[in-house]
Amino acid sequence: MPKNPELSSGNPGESKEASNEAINKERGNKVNNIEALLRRREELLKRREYLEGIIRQLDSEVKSPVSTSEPTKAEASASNITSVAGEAESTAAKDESSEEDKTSKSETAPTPSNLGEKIKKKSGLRNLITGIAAGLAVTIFAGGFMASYNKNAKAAALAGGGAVPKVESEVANENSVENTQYAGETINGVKYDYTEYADRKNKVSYNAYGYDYSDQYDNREAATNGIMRMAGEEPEALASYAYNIFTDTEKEELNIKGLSMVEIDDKFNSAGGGELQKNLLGKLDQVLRSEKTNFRFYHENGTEETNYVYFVDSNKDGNYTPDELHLGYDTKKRSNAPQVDISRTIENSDGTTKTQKMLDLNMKCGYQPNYQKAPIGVPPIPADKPVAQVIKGGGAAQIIKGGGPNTPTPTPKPEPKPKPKPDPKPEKHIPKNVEAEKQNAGDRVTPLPIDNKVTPPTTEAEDRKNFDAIAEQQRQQQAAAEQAARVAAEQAAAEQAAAAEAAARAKADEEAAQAQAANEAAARAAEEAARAQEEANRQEAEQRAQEEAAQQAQAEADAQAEQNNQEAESHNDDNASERAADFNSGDF
Amino acid sequence: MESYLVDPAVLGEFVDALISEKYPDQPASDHTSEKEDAVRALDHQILKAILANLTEEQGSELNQLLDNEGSNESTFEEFFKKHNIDLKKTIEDTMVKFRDDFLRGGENA
Repeated sequence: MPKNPELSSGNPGESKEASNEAINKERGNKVNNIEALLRRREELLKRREYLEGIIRQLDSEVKSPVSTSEPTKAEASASNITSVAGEAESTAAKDESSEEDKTSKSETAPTPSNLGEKIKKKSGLRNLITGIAAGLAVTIFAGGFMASYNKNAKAAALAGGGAVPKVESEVANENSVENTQYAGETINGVKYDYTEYADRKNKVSYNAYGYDYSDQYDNREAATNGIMRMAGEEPEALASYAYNIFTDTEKEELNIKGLSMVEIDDKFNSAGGGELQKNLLGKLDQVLRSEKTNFRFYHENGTEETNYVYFVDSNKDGNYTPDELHLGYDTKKRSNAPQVDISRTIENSDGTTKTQKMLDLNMKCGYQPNYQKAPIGVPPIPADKPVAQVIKGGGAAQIIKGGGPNTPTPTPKPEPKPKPKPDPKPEKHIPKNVEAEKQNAGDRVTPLPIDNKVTPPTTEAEDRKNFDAIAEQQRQQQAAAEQAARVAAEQAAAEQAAAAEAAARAKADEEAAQAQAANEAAARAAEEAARAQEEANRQEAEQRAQEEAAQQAQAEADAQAEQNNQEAESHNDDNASERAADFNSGDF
Repeated sequence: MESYLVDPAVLGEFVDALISEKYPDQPASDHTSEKEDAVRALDHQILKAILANLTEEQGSELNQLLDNEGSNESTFEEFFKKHNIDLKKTIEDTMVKFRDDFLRGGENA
């Protein structure tokens, strides 16, 4: 029997009691742990039952064709719960995760058996989820997605379906679109695919964003997908949409506030460009699918400005990268052109709402934005050139007049000779189908090349050379026109300044004359007043003199009268005395 | 008529790209049935993934919102935000996993 060191030291009774107490305490703790584990097991089993119920219900609705090697999240969750519950019975439990805390707090609540069906029928939730899924569908694939989609679309065209332009399946020449990779990703993580942009044979204008999407007219869902396609393929298109459709608040959140569309496009070429592209695409999709965004399809007639994408290096025609392509604008006259006007109902800071038109897109040219005036910070590009339509399988090219956004794509005519010799005598050579639809081509506001003759069929390389020469000619013309305009403007400004100066001088002279006249009048008035005063004084003096004279005369008269009286009295007195004397004397 | 959670046109475009990747030399018309099945399956998986994020309490709360006629897109956005459910990540994980499984599996997958 092994010696118990505790029992051999000190008080044997006290040691045994302490030992029993420790054992009881340890037993109590273990019991508590087991009870906690059992409670936890109950909760987890309930959670498992709930999730399995959902899985059963949903699985009964559809049979999945894709049997995955890994379980779905719900199934993994259920199986994990089972294994954890099993472990809890035999070993001490670890601390619960934060996710399990949610379950531990939940009370037993009735599970809605038709929750999935209800979710599918609620448009608000459906729209929310659809918007997110649509944005993710673009970003998950981006360039790869679009390249694949293009391949698929062309394959569909081969089979006779879809709205994409038909492409002939014979062996392509070395410059064909199919042999060139246009999709990729920049060092900044920006995805792009310029296959559609570079496919000039099948666009209505050289620098259009993309194909003719007129078949999506009156179809909001299709138009939204078309716009997102362009935005996903071409960062330039995305920049132009983002500039126009987002509010200032949204732009601030996306770090593009205060930037022109050209500057937004430039930002793709710097660090973080990929992240910016992803964020803009996600937000654009969300806005386009929002119930607060309205689509109005209509036909445009009249002149307007419109975006284009162009490249500077004329020697390059294909294999573009985002830093080689730029946003520009051109002036076009529309004739019954299918367009879509996108407006948004936006909430103001005071709680009121306003509906505002944000984007106006031309459907025939891959949803290019239109404007009443030239967009700020965007340069004009050389005018749209006559498109060199290379007919696949034949090699002969035909110059099509007009080349405006409404010029339809002519049906390719099969050329019997693989390399036809150019006709030595220049003749007009306009395909009949284009001639027949000339009325719908729309007049060009920008001038045609100086040499307005239609050249005879040439090879593609010659067409390109002619094209570049015409482009250079037009650039020079445009520069000369701009210079002349500047001179005229300066002259007009000078004339205007001179006229203003003369007018100012005349006004000053007139004012001076008026002032002088006023002074003279005042002087005359003063003189008159002085004279009048003088006259008045003179009259007053005369009157005073007269009065004095009268007074003096009166005084003299009075004096004379007085004297007379005195004399008379004196005489009377003498007479009286005499008479008295006489009386006395008796001599009367 | 079958109902979908996500607009089938959106999922259709996504699946078109998958089919194009998986069968690059074949026209899409050869895989119409597979496309329909894949769209249905993906829609189903997205719904399952979203529901798996919910506790019973949250499921009941969502049910009440669904019954409320005034609930709109914002209402549900707030609901998921309130319960810290990252809807975008849930859907993204599901779609990426679906893509990987679809492309990895052969014709019999």
